[in-house]
Amino acid sequence: MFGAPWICRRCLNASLKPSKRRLIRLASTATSHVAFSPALLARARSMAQEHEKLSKETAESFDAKIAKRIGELQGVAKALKDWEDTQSSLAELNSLLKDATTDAELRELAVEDLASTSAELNTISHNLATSLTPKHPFADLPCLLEIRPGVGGGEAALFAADLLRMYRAYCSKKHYRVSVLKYETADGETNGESPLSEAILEIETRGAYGDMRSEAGVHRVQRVPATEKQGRTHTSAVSVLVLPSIPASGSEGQDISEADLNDPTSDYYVSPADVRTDVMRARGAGGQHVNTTDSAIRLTHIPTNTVVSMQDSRSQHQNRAKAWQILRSKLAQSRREAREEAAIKVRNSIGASKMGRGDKVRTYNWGQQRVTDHRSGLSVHNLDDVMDGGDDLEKIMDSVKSWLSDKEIEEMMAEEADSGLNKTTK
Amino acid sequence: MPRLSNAVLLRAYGISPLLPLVLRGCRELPSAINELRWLREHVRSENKSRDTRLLSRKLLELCRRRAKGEPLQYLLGTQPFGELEIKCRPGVLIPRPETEAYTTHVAEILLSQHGKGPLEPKTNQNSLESLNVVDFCTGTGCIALLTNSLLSKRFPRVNVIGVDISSHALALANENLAHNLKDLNADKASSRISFEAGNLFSDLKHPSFHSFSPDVVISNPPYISEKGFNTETTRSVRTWEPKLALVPAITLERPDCAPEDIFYQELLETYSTQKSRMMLLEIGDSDQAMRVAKLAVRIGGDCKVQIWRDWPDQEAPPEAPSMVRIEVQDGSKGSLIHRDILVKGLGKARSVLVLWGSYIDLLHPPSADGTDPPESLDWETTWEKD
Repeated sequence: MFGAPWICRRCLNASLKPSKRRLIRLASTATSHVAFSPALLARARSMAQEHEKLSKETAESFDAKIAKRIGELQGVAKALKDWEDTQSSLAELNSLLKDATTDAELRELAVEDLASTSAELNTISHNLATSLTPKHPFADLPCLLEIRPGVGGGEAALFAADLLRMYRAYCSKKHYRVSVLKYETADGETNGESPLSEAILEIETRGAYGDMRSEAGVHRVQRVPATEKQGRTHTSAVSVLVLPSIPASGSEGQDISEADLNDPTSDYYVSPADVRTDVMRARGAGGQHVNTTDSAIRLTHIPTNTVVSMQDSRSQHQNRAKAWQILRSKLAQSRREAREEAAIKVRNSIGASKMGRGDKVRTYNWGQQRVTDHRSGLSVHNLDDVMDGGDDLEKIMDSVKSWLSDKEIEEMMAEEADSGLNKTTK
Repeated sequence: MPRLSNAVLLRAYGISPLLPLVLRGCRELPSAINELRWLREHVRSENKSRDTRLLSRKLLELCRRRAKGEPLQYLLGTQPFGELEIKCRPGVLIPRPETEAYTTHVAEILLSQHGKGPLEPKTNQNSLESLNVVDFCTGTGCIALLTNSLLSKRFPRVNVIGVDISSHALALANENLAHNLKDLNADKASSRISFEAGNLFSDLKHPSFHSFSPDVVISNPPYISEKGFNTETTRSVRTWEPKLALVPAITLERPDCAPEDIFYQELLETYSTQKSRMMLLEIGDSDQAMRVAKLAVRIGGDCKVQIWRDWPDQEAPPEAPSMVRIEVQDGSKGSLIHRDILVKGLGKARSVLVLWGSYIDLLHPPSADGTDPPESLDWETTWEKD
């Protein structure tokens, strides 16, 4: 009856349907920012004016505060000047081309110049947008990197240990000062590699938070684990949390002074009355009767029910100090997150740039020797180098950082447009 | 000592084959895991060689010693005490965390009151500007060293003397002084610390001790009774730590004093007649706390007494008594007198504080409570591990 062999309906339907659009986000989908809203430009101009005024003031007398503000404004002022210069040269070139009296040689040169200048304008306007986005308030701080295995049991714990090694290698390559605040191994076989149940890495170099904050999120691994006997590929996840590290005293960072730590309105303030300290201790008579080596400390912040426990050091004194540091960082982070979330809700716009713990950010696939970042869409096929904290890891991190700054620029523009709209409606 | 269950041993073996050995010494799995880690770190830092077989042999040997109950501090040679690191050796008592807690607390109190009232520096009266501290039965020197390190941060002049009868302990205390020199500001002329040999029961009447009049007396004397030593101490303490530091070795005929309280009586009798202003005595349990408090009220004359629990800087739960009432026979008149004593902190009764003279108003809050306090300290904060 039919010349063709029989094909089941499901296959036929599938072949007849237009192929589904594959969900791929490319690294090159970055937006260009040639057009600025007038509100944004006005803001940049006023900032540049302030910069000029302040620089004149400091020529006569020096003030640390003003000098700091100048430092903040400098980037904007420079980017704006560049942008305006290119704009005016563009206009000049255009007018040259329109002018009928221009001779042919000059016209040729102008056409060449026009192409290069407009290409330049793209990067310069991007620079301007970046300089206009407010810096993350914690960006200058050192950071704490918390690594915890998620779903996947023993394999997740093994991968958590791998990730810890990767970040330590990365930090030593970047010459960051690193110390392990907390390192707890999970139960399980210890042939060569020790599975990790929780680790906190302190990166003491200033500005580390700005560098590492894009690492927060769920890192997924797809591989045949060492514990697997039948050669099946498992998928497990490890969550990485990046917290700003709050220095205990104002001596290290000028940004956070003693006053900030004691000021109840500050993010860094933790009232000692809200914190319950538990000292784990053995039963029995105590004192000279027993000799305990138990130095564990547990802090509970009662209003938020945040618990930090610390038992790494033999010194209770040190455990307490570390636990306080982590508690302070956790609370500062959660306060900031709560504020950001509220702002996003109010604005009801782009969002998404907040990196919560829930989002899967990166996949490490052993079978294909591939690492893919799901935010920037960048794939790297050199897994070993990434796991050694090499250049490829930096490449991925840079791509995420530029993705993040693009998001922030978009958000800022949306905000700016919003406020402009509100003004006109009023 | 209850037997370790098979299930626990098996679990320990699953984590590391060395863990059952450590577990035999320290009895609890979570702290055994930590101890094994510290032992491993110690072996790694002690031996520069990369020979893993040598390292694992050394680690195995340490674990075997731990299995016999030898204290971890003797194996590692040190114990952290506050911000200091105290060297430990067999023959000298290991510093305890409770001792660290009350030493830190007393130093914090003195620091917080510095510049106020009686601790106000006066230029014309040199004695008030400096603070003299004496630590009896100093052992490793931990209390003396930590007090000096904490107080010399703010007090213009701090003099600390540690006294012990054992020459072995004194040698170790001096080593600890050298070991912690950079933390102690010892190079500053303002703070002085020294360790001296002395027998509390004979040398205290000696004129050389009278020339140094301490403002603060701290002591962690031997306070365990012979019976308590056999029944209440853990096996590791009994077999490895010096009995001299645990049980009073002196038998004096004192009709009104239990043999284990003999050091307290001697100290109180000596210093209540001098013009010292504060005395802090570590005690073993709540019964001993009551006995020492009674001794202090009877001997100490015009003084105020407080009882501190293990962690004096922490709030006790509301159901814990904050006051206790004691009855003492007044020596001269033969009549009974009542005293209400403040109890503070979390945990078990750990130390007795006696205050004299100007320190009373400073450190002892007036009791405004109308209700009668209980007559025993039987209530204990239970602090279970989870």
